[in-house]
Amino acid sequence: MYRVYFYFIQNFSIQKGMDGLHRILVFLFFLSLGLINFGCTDSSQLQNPNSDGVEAYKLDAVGENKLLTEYPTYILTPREVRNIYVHGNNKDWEDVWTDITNDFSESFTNGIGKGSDQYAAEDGNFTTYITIAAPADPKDYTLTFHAGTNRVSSSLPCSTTIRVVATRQFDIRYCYMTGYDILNDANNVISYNASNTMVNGFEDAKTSINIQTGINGIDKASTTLMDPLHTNLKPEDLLYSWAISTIPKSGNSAARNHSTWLFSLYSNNFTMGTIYGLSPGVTITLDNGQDIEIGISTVYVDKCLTAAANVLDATQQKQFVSLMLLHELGHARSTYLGADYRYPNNLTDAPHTGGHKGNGSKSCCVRYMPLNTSTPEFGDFKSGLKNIHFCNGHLQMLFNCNFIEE
Amino acid sequence: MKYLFIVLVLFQNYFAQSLSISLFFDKSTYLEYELCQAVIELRNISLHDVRITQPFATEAYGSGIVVELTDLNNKKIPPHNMEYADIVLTKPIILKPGNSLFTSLPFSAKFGRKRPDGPVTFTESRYPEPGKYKIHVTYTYTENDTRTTIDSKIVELEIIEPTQEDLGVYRELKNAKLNSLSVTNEQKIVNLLQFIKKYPSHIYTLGAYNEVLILAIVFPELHVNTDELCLQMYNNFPTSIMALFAVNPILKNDSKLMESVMSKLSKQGNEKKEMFKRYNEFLDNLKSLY
Repeated sequence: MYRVYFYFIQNFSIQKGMDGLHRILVFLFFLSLGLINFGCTDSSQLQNPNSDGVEAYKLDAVGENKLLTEYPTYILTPREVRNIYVHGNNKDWEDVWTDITNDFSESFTNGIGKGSDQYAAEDGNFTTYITIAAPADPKDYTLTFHAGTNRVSSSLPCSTTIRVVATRQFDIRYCYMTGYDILNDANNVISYNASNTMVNGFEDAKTSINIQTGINGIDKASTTLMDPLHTNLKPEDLLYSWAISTIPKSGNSAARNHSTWLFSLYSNNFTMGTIYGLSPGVTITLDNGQDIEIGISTVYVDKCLTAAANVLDATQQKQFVSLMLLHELGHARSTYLGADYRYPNNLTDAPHTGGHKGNGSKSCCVRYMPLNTSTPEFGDFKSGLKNIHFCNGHLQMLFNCNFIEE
Repeated sequence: MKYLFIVLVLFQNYFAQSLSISLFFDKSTYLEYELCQAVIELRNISLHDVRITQPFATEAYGSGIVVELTDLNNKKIPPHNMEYADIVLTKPIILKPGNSLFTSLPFSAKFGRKRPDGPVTFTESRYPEPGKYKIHVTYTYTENDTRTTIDSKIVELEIIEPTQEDLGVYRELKNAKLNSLSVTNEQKIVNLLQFIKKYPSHIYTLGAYNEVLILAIVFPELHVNTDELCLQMYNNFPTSIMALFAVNPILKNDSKLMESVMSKLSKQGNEKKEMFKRYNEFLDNLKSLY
């Protein structure tokens, strides 16, 4: 690029028959323009360091001789088995292990850099995991980790809280417009196995789904709610206002704290899906005076289908609707993670680009959907439609979401 | 030297930044809990068409817009990040020279914090702590395979603490717009209109107008006279951008009112007046743009 630029400058001044001084001036002028142009722009590219399959789970680099867990608190259900990812930095360490205590009668252990699903760099930085099993009683436990060689600890011990909770349940109140019932679309008319996609996605996240009917038979007239022509009023505010007023008519008995109201709607305006809530903010007062927080997720079926029409075949377009469903529910599930995890994760901080780690990271359903064949990520996006999933990094986040209706 | 001048003009235009981004607030001081909605403008300042490939909306993932709020010690105040839309542009927007795209920045909703003093209802209940802040917005776009990030000017804002009297009015507003399942929309509108009548130009009344307008759009069966309401809002809050934009559709059919509005805008500064003209052009082009 630079070479072409210099060649152009040189030829420009020669062709114009300029004398030496003018040629130097022209050269300097173009040079400064070139430096401004090349220097002031951010030409960084999107990076996808991981790939599907057995690509390593990689956490941030840490200082020498340090050992850290990914999260300060891990949420597990009774006797649940879960990987705890730890990262550290020392070239000589071979293993990580946990202490034996009254609560944990065995020491969980793993080698460093031993498997292709682990990350180990030349500079000593590594990420590995230890598979632990939770105790049976729901309460908080402390688990301490060590790293070293021949089980001799040479790291400062690192402790984390293991919070055992009775259940990890996602409460969904399902609302749909007439003709847009994607969860009961048995013949795959407007979506493709949407219900299975939702159930399987959250099964991977070890999350049970408690789904109840919220509002059905929504009138198509509501589609104007997301019209971008309302530039003065936020479309999400309009939808919220509509939902909050409609719930008492149709779904009052189903309104519960921390439930997510999932709307499957028509709309071919601007937006494929939205998340509104969960916490703090979307608060409504029940008839008994209780203030509850709810989330509102929407899937705009027609917009998904038309947005994908030019780049995907008919089946893939319907799979894309199902992907959008899991994507929005992923956002909704992670917006409230309890007092310890208000906004800890990339599902909320950098929801499309961040947090992708380990297996399935390139085609994770949380990624931004590149509906353009010339986008480098398009191939991964398209192949992900066959097996719509959360990547390992986002599954770890979702394991830590345990809020249930109260 | 003649050649140099021509080359300078041609190449300055070619290599210059094609887009500019601006942030407009009504004023520099806001009362805590006051509805504060700013406007972001993306303008083609080049002499050629610019292809916009990323959506221009603050609440959209991947829109290229980053809004950064800091206190005076440059400590970042993170946004709520609780409302997002997954938007794609199915075709690029071709922005003509001099034309603009607009989006709103719901400042109070985006940066507020849940307050410990009672139930949260909606937007203006969440508000940054009283203090001084700086805010700016960046937009990243790709043109000719080159990614460029442009930055708005930094806007300084001050949030001031309400008096006990103000808080009393605020509590009345909260009661009027209570999101209780047992309060019907009709009741809510009656409550809000009563509040507006009682406090026609109180600083918190702008939030009441906003709420009634939302209900009126979402529930047309409520038959609220929005034209009258918008005019009333504009007359009571003539410097509010939100009120100005709300009254805009009425101006199209009322040249006398348009004249009066432009005259008022002239007194508020040329920058705002020019922005309003471009906003009108944007609305005229909106359907063809998207």
